[in-house]
Amino acid sequence: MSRRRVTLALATIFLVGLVVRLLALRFEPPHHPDEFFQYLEPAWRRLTGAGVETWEWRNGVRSWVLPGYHGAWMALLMRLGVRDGIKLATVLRCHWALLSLTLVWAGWRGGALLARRQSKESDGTGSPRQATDVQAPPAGWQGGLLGALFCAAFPLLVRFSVHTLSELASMLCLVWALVLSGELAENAGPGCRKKALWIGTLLGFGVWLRIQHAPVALLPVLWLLVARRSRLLAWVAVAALIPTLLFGVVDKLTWGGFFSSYIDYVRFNLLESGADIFGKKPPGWYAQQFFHRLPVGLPLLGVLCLFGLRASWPFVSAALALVVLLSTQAHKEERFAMLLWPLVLISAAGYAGAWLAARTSKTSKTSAFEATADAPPSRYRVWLARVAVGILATIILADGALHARGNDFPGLSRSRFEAQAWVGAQQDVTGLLYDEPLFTGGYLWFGRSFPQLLFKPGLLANPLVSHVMVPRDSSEMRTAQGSGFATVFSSGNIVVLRRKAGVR
Amino acid sequence: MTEVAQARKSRLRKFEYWTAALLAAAWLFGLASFVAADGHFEATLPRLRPPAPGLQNLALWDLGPTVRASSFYGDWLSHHHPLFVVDGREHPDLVEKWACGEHDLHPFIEITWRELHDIERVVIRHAGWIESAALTARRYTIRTLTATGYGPSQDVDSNQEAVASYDLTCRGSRGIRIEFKRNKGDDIVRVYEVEAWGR
Repeated sequence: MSRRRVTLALATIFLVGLVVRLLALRFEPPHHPDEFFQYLEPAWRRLTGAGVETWEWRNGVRSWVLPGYHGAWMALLMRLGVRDGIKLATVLRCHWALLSLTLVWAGWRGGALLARRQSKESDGTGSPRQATDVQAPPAGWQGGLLGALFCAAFPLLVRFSVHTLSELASMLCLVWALVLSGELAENAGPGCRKKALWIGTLLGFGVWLRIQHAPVALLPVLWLLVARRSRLLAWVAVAALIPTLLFGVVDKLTWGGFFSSYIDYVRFNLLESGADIFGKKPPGWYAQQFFHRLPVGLPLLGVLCLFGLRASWPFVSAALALVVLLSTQAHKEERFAMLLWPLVLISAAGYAGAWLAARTSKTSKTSAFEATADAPPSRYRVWLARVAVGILATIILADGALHARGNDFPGLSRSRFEAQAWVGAQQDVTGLLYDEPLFTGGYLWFGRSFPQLLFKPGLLANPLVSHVMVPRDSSEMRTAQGSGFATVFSSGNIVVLRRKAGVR
Repeated sequence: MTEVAQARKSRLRKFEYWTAALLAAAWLFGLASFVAADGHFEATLPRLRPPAPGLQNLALWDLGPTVRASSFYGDWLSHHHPLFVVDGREHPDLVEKWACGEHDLHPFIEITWRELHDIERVVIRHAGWIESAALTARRYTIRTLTATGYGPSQDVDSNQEAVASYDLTCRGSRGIRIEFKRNKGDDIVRVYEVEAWGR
């Protein structure tokens, strides 16, 4: 295949990645209350004074860096006249969806890197083969394209790409750090110092954005050590200090102590197991969850990772280290382990790419998969190999699509958000009661500064309460009807009732 | 690589740098605005009736006042919104009060009305009205607001009343502002109702 055709294929994959992310932006329901209440609502509250303040923010166990990042964009857009909370949230979700496309590029480079390493390991030549023809595609392109395709279209990653969660931002940083470390380990040529600085910065941000991802950050360091890049490692360490200082100083300015939010967070979540009050799961829960998401594809990915372990051990070890650490904690959520997927997918892509390259290569003795004759492989054989890899990719993506639905919070439905947005758009709204504050979009989504409270029958008599948002046919609905409220809107199972005129 | 391709790559790189620089500048401008925001609350209620002639509570919700507050205690379950100080409730639930945020070092609440009025008396229904007397705010300053700035004010140093009433006269007032000092360092301010009687 020519370089031009590979470039076209990569561009197509990017386009596919963009389209499915835009579809996710339109159809993906909220994934977790934290995406609003931990990372958007604090910024909105600071800018408008109205907002739900969760216990984490009262007790100072969250860093202001990510909400501050969101808040800066919000403040800019508000200066430009965009004051609608839903629009601001949508812009930020779109922003993360677009940023997550960089994962496709990381998948391309990571897949190609691992495919090259795989071929190298199999060759025993010790160095990647350099293409002499300028029209030839880059070495390892088969793994690169597969890695890009997986990162672009794997359904869980697509779904996850539109959520304003710290796991996503950290995932992007750490996957890139691992890919760049691999490139640096493979080839410390010109520009290597710049790359080392990037790795350090990304590692710093990746870890401090999501402290539970810290085990993953050890692998790039180990990889560089194994590759005897200790001088470059010093540059990595220097660069990692920049985000580290940033997070420390922000904590000092906002909470009064260097890294105080992290100290409290680790103490509460990891040492005191305080998060257990939000639910406990058995140690093997993550494995069950991964199988639930990819019952057919996961064994295939596992086999590919195992076969390619000599080349992709940093990716696979990083994924395993993450899952092992997370499994020691009784409180488990799927989003905590989302970083596993790109690591495993890129590893699998690297091996599958190298396998395909070995089957289609025109040179002799290209791999240990099977010693080939000097003659080029037959067209039939080339297509057979391509079809096999195509079927593999299809199985993984289709299996992922078939099992992509649902999340940790079944009650977090689109209906509530639609109903809340509808109430926020009413001219006569002065207050809202709802049955489940956790499953709404907070004041940002409401877009109004009027009170929003948990439903209590006694509050129906408060003259400020103009609307009630509760499940259809619930006891709350009947109580509200008995207090002079009538249904005016419904979305799915959620109904909105408004106080009848003259009833206060 | 041909010269044409190199030139194209160079132009692309320049475009990338400029785009990144512009985005960074825009974001930094937003960051400055974000940092400068003081997080105060402000909301204006719709007017449902015009002011009646004679003495009345000018702060009442249906006259469409604007309420500003330094912050509020915005927990999911204990949501103590500033607008509750003007809801006129005679038997409020524990949740129907304004409480400042835990990190608010200079709590205040301000109520302004739509026209200038002459006020005669300010009534504050403190936490002790419904809850423990220990929660009642002790130290605060009530300021009247006029079209040009501040009018007469009253300093309170050791309030013991659950429902505290102050004769505070101000002609042509556009509102009142109450600045609190916390009872203890970590105690939040709790107020059920603020009434501004005038005509």
